[in-house]
Amino acid sequence: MALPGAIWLFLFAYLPMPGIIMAFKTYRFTKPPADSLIQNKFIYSLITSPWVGLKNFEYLTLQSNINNTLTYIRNTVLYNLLFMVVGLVFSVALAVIIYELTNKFWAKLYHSILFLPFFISWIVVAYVVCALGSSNGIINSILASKGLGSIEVYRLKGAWPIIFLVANLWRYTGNGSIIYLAVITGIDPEQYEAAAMDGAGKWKQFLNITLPNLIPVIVLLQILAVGRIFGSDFDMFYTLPNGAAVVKDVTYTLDIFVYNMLRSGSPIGYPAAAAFLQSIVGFILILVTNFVVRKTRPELSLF
Amino acid sequence: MFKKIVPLLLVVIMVVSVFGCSTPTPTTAVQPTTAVQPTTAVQPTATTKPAETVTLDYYIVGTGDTPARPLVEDAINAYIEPLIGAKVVFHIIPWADWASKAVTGMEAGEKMDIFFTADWSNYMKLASEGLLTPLNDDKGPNGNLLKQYGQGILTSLNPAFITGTQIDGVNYAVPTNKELSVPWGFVYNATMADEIGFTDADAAKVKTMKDLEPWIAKAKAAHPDLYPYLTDGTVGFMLWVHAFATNLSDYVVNTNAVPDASGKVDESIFCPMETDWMKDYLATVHDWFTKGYINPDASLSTFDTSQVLNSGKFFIEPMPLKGNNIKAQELVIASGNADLKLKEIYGMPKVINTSDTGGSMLAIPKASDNPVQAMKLLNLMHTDSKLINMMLYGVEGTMWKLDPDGRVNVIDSAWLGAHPGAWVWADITIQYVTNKEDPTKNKLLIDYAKDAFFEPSLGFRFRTESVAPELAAIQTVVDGSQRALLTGYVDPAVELPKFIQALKDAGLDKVLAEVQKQYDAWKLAKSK
Amino acid sequence: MEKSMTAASKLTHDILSLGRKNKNMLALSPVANGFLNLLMVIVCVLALIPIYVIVISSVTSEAALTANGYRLWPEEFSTMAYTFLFNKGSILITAYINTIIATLAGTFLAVVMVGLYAYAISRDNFKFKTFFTFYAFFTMLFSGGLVSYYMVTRQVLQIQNSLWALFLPSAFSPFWVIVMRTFYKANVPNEVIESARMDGASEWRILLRIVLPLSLPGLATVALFSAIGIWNNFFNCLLLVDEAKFYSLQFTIYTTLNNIRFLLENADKMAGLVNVSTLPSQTFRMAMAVVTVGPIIFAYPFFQRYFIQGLTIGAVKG
Repeated sequence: MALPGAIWLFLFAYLPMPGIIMAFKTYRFTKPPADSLIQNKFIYSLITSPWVGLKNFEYLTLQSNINNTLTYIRNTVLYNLLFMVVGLVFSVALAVIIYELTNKFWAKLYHSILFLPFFISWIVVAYVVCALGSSNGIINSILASKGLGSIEVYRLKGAWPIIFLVANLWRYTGNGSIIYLAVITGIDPEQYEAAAMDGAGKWKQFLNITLPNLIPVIVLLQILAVGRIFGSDFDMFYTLPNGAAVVKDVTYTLDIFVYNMLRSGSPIGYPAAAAFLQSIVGFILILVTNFVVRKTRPELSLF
Repeated sequence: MFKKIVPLLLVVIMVVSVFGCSTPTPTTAVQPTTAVQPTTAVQPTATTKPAETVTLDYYIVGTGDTPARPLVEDAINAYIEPLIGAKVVFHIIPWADWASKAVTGMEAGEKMDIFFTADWSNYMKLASEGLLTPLNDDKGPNGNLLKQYGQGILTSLNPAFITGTQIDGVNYAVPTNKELSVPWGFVYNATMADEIGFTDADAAKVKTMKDLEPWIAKAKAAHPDLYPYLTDGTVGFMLWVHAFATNLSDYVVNTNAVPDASGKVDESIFCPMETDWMKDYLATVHDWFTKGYINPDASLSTFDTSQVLNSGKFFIEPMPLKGNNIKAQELVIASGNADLKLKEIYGMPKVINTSDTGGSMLAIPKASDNPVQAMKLLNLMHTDSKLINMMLYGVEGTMWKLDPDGRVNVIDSAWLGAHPGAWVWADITIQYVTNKEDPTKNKLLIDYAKDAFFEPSLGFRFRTESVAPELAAIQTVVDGSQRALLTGYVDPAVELPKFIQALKDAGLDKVLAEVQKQYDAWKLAKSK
Repeated sequence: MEKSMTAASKLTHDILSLGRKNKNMLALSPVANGFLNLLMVIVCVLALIPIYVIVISSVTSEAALTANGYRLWPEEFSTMAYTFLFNKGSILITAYINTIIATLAGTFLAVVMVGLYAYAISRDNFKFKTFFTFYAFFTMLFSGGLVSYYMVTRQVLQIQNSLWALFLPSAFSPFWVIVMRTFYKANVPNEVIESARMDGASEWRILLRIVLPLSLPGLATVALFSAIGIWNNFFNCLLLVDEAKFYSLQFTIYTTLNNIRFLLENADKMAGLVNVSTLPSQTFRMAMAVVTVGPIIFAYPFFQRYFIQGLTIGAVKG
């Protein structure tokens, strides 16, 4: 039964995986000679390229640049944690609210509306942010008409974590709440009835019935999210600030750093090295988190 | 358990994925010849006539694929097949995806025979990774391709192109014959100029930013709701060579472009951001910003200067120019705005430097199994007017017609809109112009460079491998911050020192030293 | 988390589900309900503002947009962007069709493959469950890189320039496998399977008649997200499709917008080679954004009923 999926994984994920060694080599293209067993040009070139160990990781740990790298990593990790925690609260809250609203028609309508932002690509959203927050944007013109000062969103460092958080919530809450809603719908209502008959209020019902049922999924999703902690939603972080330089310290993540580096024409070992780093860190973190979970509630762990 | 459906699913998936590839259209089937089976051995006798027609995969950048492409390919192939025994299939890769798709594909050993490249589009990187075939290598597997099959190219190009695009004496790509000298300057709104009394004589007197200031102030007074100085951060009065053919910013590592009175150029390598000239310039720009002469959004990457230009709601904008008012004319045509009138001011003398030669080139990837045919096609493109106009405009008769005066009347612009335009197709001197343009335009562009000043650094290309980590770090510092400074968005008194310090922290001095070292070595080798 | 349903509780539930209108005990108080409704309305309005701005600017005239920037109400109406868009219709229509086919095929494939795989690894009596779990999970973190992937998909699997390219790479997701595994574990207890097996039912019957109904909300979720994922995906098309006739919908808008962004960012490097004036106007970009969202917004309402209905079906089957 697991076979179709396993084959798919083999073809699409495991076959390309040896390419990961590019992180440790300086790629030189060489055409395989006519008598070589391996005629595939990429594989041959990869095998014959010189091994350079950790040299491709140098630019990340460059003495002169280490501050920047650490800043970007800090941004990446903190934003991810922020999104994980706040996003979780909002998604669960939304799922519960949708479930509880008495008029199902309105509930479905709200949920469908909140689902829409997911479909708007970030580049277009960046235009909107510009439209709203730039110096002659909508917000400023409203403020100006009331005689209040103006805010320059692209100069305010402090504004950006809020903007990213709001943007992230705007886009993903509707979406994220669906999994939780599916689980809540699966809860036997008679449990609630029994609790209600025992005199438990809505909040107690939530704590003692809804939440425990959600815990497996929540824990699972958080463990998986931890594995991506060195990654980020590239499109959002890159396009929303519109290249505003003043706020770079709070808007740049590791992915953006890697992308910019690509533009400087660096060897392809560099982004491969960065990706490897992200993978390794994520992997270790997941193993650790999973280990912790296994010790406390074994049935919830990943494996 | 499910032993019945599983094998079936398995077979279905495998069979379909192996055979379910390109649909059988008559001419454009991409042959999957680079399968893992060991059959594609390189024939040592490839220079003799091939037994069957070879298909050349031609990778070009553009807006994206178009349904017009197969039609154009049919027309072209009908013409070239008898001539060189090869057919061509175009792959138009969108601008934004070039790095992730075309370059990735090349690195993955995909079958490619002709590949667009340029100094600003990975030329150095691809060459240093060994991905491009050397074209003038006497000892190459097919001999010196340029000499044997590219005579048309060698005779039609200005020698500056050939030597200018070499890396350590090796040609890795064939440059396009187009404008060779692209001095920076300004384009200004002639209508507004008339309003404020900015005559041609006044324009001729403008030599510095301070000279421009009173006129910009007048423009602002006449139109308070406009931002007269339109910029995205580029500098109109350029004192430096335009790029060392790396991806690095012009304002970070560069050398002088303008000869002094005796006609010599100071060839030292330095960082323009550290000069006094730049300090004054940035102070001026910031001053203008605070006075409302520059759009407050100019530093944002979404700021679209072309939209503002098209609507004519500006006074002056820095721009690279091509001589003879051609750039202004092109902008007016492209704007579609009949009321727009533009004129030019030149901010630097006519010079030719390395990146001007390598602005548009066609390379033959090492992975190509048909370098001889590819070179033959390139040669044909540089000599055959009929072919190149087909490649530029599409199928004659259905997509375009030739007017009696020798200019092109475009009927269907599907193909024309898909590729970047005249400057990627081999040689503009054998191309027709559209009926909206000056018939002598192409000749003017080429002639313009005839008396231009050849920079002493012409032909020097900086190899980035040894300082790759530092360049990566510098790129991160430059992004965004540079534009903020150059558009006056931030106060240079505060930010410029920070910017320079950040550059130094990222390894600027090491990079400068390395460039200087390579340059000196190159000069020495050249003088021998 | 084992929720074994005894016959008694099932009976109670059946009765209750019939009398849904009478669940006064479980309903929110009118005050709370009213408050929450108000909250939702406010949140929805706020969430819609950016979308509103986009739609409005797609019907603003280009001149007004350049002069005044984005506004909440256009100074000047114009449907130029849409007329222009429909004139270039043929590529969009092809892209629409491609995307619809790819979404349907891919969603079906995804649900089947993910469902089967997750079910297998959720059974305690499956000998290799840890191995297969790890086998899938590992691929979520480690990948061979773009170049390697490009080579495998194009030179080994050769799925480029076909409809397969649009959905096959998205047809399986280790993430959903792991989520579904949890779902199966919670909703399909081993006892139910065991009892059915002891009754002599074949695996096939068990799967169809017992497991499937119980896992409907989960599978519906997988289907929903797979459908959306494939619809929104431009990367498959970017990497694997060169020919216009296989373009996917999101790719067309992505390419248009990204080309513009790329050219604007690199204008200085290219020394004015490209005439940026000819790029699609702002209103056109907005119109494209609106049009390419398309029918997928109806995907969620379509799947909604599975979330609400799921348990009723399961309980009746008992």
